[in-house]
Amino acid sequence: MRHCKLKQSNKRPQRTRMMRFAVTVFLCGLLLVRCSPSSEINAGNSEPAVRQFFSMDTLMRIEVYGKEAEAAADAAQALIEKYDSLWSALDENSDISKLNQSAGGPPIHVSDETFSLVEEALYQAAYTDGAFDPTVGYLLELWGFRHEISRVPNKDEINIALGGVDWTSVRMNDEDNTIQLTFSETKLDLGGIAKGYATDRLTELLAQYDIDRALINLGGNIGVIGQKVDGSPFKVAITDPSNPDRFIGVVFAKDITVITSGGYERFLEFDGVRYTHIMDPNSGYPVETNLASVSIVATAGGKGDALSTALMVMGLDHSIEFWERHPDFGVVLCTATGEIHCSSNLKGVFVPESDVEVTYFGAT
Amino acid sequence: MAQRKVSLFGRFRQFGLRSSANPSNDERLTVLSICISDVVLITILLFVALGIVPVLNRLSAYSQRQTSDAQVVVIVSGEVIFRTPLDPSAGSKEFFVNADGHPMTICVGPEGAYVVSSDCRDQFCVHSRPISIPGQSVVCLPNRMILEIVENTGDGSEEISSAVDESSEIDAVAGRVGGYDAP
Repeated sequence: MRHCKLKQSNKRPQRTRMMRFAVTVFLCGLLLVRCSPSSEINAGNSEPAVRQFFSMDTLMRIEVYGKEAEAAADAAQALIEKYDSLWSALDENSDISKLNQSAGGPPIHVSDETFSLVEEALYQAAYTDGAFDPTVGYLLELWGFRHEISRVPNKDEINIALGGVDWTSVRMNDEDNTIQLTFSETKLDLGGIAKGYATDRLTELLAQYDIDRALINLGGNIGVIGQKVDGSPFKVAITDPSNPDRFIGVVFAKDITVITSGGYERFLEFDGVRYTHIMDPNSGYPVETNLASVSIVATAGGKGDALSTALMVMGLDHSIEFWERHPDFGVVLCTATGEIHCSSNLKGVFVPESDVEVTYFGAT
Repeated sequence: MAQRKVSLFGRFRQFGLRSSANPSNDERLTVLSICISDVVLITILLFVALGIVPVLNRLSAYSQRQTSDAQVVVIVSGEVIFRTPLDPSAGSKEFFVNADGHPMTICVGPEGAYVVSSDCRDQFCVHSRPISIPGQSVVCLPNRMILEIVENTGDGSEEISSAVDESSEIDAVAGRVGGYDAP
């Protein structure tokens, strides 16, 4: 260590030089770390291409980062608008409307996109033992979730509509892309899966462009690609269903979808009673389980979307049982009494607010 | 030839003293080496620099948001049909807007912008709380209306703000339509 000692002579200039050296090292360090994110700015990757538009009966918002962000965002918007024209229940020329109009009749030829969506919907219906059922369209119409005027239907009307609720009655033929609704009371409604499914297709589409990261928000169905510019994950909040102005926590998301279903999203009120838009395919009534909201964290949006609806129908206990049999996704369950139950595989991914108490289920 | 180890500081010192020293009297080869105290000092300085960066970033993002010339815009069918500056120092003002034949009343005041009345059936927009930060929005799905805070670009146009930046507490909200709504 002797060689580190300063000479006793000429002490003052030495100190000054040492200070200069120290400041130089400090500034160099500062410059180095400041340069790392700005290099991406210079590469043109930091400014996103943002598209916001109404489609599929909700608001879409897509933020894309990368060299081909503008072209990718345009292609993403075009794809969503194409899906809207194919799947809208309100457009009588859409594939879904044509299918519903021909219920009880012969098979109908549909586009590849529609065939693939219905195929996915039936797969998820089977996966959830029918808790998610895409054939509840007639019920939704009956309750007025498709029209301006809503009313509480009587029991006879509900029984007639229930006659058409059976996902196993949908016939698909992949040789000629035809679908047949065998019962005349059957009407498809793909609102419980279409946006999640579209999120997956958008992710595939954006992968064809030179995209670094993207935030896809299809009416509250969130899909994230990559991570933020600073390398941290995207922060996706989950709303408190008892007070939608606040959050129960945040999901730290990277290459994943976060999808929430809840009675607070869309509902109707008659005589002071609130009816959610999520239909119970068994009773024909809007769901009245002990769950206020279900948030699914999954790699596939179509699956997450269908599961969020299915678990709302199942209720707390059956949802936990279902997850224990299929623990390949994460779930946050909020009960009507304000309890929050979270699957153990979301520890460290879902971070609750400091004043929120969470009960974890499943083996860690 | 004899070798002499000199620390980084020593090397600097040597450069500085060369003019006053007599090089011809010192034939030994000087080898630059770094002693432990140098490493410790450099490490400390780098850590301090690293620690300061997020603070600087946050300060810069916060000041950008606070000093930006924010505008309140109402977008219907993709077109901006109403725009007014968001001035927290000004009093509350109510504005009537026609959202494709649907009458709506917007209030812009110190607490932000919000929907006072709407003829939509679900009234979600009316129950939404005021917004004041670029990127926040209130959406009326039945009337296809977006009330949004945007940055004023200075050329008369508006830019839809990104919900994502390094200082964002929240980038998106699952189950909520529209822009993020920071707590």
